[in-house]
Amino acid sequence: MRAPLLGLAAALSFAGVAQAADLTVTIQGVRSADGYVMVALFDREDAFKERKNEIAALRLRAREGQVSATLHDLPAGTYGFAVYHDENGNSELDANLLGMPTEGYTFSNDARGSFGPPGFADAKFGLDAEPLKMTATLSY
Amino acid sequence: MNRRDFLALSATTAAMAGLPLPLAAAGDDWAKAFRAALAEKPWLLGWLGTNEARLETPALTVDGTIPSELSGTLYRNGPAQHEVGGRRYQHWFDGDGMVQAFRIGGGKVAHLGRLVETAKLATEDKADRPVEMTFGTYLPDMRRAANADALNTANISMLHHGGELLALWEGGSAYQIEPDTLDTIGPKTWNPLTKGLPFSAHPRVDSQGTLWSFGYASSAGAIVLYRIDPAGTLVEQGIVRMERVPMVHDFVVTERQVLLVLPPLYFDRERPGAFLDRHVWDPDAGTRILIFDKDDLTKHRTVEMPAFWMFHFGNAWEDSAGKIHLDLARYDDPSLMFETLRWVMRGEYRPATTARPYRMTVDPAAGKATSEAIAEDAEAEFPRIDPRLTGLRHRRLILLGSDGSAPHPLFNAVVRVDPETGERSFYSYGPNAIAEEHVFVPRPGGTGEDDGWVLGTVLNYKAGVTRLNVFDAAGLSDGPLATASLPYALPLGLHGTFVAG
Repeated sequence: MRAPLLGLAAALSFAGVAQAADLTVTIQGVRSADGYVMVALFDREDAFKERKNEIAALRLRAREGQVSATLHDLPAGTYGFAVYHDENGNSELDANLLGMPTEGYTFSNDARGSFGPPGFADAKFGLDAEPLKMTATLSY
Repeated sequence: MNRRDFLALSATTAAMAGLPLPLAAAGDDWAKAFRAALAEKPWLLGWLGTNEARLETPALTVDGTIPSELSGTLYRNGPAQHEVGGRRYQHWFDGDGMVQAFRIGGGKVAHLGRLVETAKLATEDKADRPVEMTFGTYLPDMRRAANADALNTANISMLHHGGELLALWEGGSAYQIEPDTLDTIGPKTWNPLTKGLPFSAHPRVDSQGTLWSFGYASSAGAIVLYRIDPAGTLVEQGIVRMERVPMVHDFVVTERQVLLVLPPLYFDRERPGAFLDRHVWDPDAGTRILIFDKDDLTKHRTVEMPAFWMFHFGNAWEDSAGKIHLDLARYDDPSLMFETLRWVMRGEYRPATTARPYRMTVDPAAGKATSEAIAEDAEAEFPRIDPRLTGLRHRRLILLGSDGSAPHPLFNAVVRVDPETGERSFYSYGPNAIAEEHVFVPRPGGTGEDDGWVLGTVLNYKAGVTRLNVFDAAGLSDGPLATASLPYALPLGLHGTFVAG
């Protein structure tokens, strides 16, 4: 299924690249149909760390259970994604006064940091010419 | 553990405890070692734990007479599920919390105990194994601690405030509990800004009915302060930023001040292991006392002292000269937590530094503090006072102590001491007992610290049962007025609160 894509930072079709593949992202553990599940895909460590300059961003209407979307024709390479459930639809990952997330979130590989967010090393995965399916589960 | 061992244990300890024995997973070294030791050291029954989600006895057997005026519920909490899928935690403080309610009225006592249904419990029930790193255990297949509430066991204490009952941890949210059924309602959110922030297990309700609390946010480099009105609304939160955050279990308030006493046990996220193991004892840094005015949580004065460790304070109050007097159970270092309370889960008794009751005097104007033993010879912990005197001058401290006859690392006696004269009364439960926290309950309409009862639970590991004792506060050494026995042993718990009604 091609997901409703809103507010994209980059074009989602990379057709024409020599080696390219589709990436299907499935986000599980969505606790309600409120708001959106936001997925940001990164191809660089610094971008992942700062949650800036994503190469693709998905805004998927939330559905209790799981949501899924496919990004087409991504160049082969190393990627990592960060996800949150924007339950109140304010397009932000809400946080408490110490900056800890107060909405559900997860990362590719279900990577967990140690007393903080994970680094790219734990979240990264490789994509080559074959289509790839990645699943991650939200934590609230 | 092989089947023969299990049967042998079933015939002794489990039958004694009256509860099904949790089955150790094959290959779990700690579970096996614990069971082997339990056959030799029956006092380990207190740390066996349970996998029962619910324990209930409608009418306990009562010896003696429960005063007819004594009516209400003693809620207690503590780590109870020490094994998940047969795999054993490696620290006493790790187990999933179980709320125990002892309902007292008309001379009778009923008991209901239920595991707190935390997010962690739900995850691990499904997986049938320990999934989350805990306070003191980090097994190779456990998840890292992504956020505090993922490992919240809600297992330390209870609070009743603004009509709500809360099961308290200290690293994350309090869990709201339905007071009658003990159903878990869910994590308590005071407001969106403090959602998920740590809320201590030792909040203090002052004489104005205001609830004060704090929380140490190790990975965020801050301690949070809470001011909650008598109705249960959070009216102010303060943040104290610090480069290194220490482990802080308790704090105190006076009529005008909030005091954070920070022992030099600092969090270092780069260290390996469980949360506890990521702490470094740095005695050269000393123990610091941060003093806040209640009406301005944005700034504080700091008084420094040579290093000491404590879990618990009794109370604090300010005299007319502006000096603050503070009672605590003081340790030279935190080795008890790193050694004794860890290895007991493997069935080993490794002695460490013990606590003594101390009176500390802080002079904020001079920037100085001193401390002095209240009773030089007494080992004591779990200090409590008449709750009506929180922040005011108190003359009675209720503590747990020892008569020296018990072979285990905890306490077998209850002590009541005047912190100003050192005069004390004492009652020992004998060599087969492990006493748990005892609390003062004022007599309805009564006045003063002698006019009421002392309530506390005791595990008699020889009989394999937990008993609730009721003393006349003024006649502690005469022994209990009444003892109500459960037909089973409860896992040793930590703290509780009495709710009259």
